[in-house]
Amino acid sequence: MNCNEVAMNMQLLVDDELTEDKIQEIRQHLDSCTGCVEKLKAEKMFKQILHDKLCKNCPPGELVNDVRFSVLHAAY
Amino acid sequence: MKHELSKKEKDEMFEKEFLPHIDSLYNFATYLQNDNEIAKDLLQETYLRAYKFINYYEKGTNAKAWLIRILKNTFINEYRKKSKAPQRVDFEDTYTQVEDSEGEMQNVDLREEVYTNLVGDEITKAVNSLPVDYRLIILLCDVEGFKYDEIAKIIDVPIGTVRSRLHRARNMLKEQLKDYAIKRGYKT
Repeated sequence: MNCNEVAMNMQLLVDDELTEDKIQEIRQHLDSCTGCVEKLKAEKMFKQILHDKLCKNCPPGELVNDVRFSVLHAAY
Repeated sequence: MKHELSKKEKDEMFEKEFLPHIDSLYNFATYLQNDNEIAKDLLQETYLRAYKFINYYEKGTNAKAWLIRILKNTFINEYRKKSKAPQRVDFEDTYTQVEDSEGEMQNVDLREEVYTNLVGDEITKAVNSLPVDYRLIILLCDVEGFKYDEIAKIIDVPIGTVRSRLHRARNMLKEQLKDYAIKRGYKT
């Protein structure tokens, strides 16, 4: 695999959507390509940051009870 | 497949399989509907519908995906039109066409420092600035951790579209973050 092919598969790699074969090919390339290693690190960091920063909105405490009440006591 | 559950069974399934996802669903709703009060309404409506259609839910399967799909549809059908947020023109059809015909898409590459030097709510701002369909896919993949095939089912598109839309959404986000970084004087 060359750098272009790795770049095209980078997203799938980071999202864990690749077959084991493809992963191996990429690993082999990474063994000797610091450029791609750096790019992969940055992609992983990006994904992690999205996850960490966007998971933050906690519901108000009584939301569960409000929902439970309105649904289970509705006329269904 | 439709089951016929007793009220007791429904209530139990609701409690055990649906309610535990309320935090994730609420978080998700706040990115579709930035006003917290309306997000709360959207969430309540979603759960009401989930209960209404509970006979169609396969016990023990992916409840969160099922619920998020209802939430997404409820949002699109009821709230999107009424949303007071400035309407972004989605160019949905245009994007879809372009996505499908674009063979190789370039990556936007940012230096790690851009990510480590982010300030406060830049990520939230960037995500909220995306058109809804791009926002949805980022939330589904990077926040909720669904796989591509699950996402494809939730938003009713082919897997190829999930992949290309995700790619584009991430590029759009990176461009946005790049802008913020440049404004603060960072190299990108």
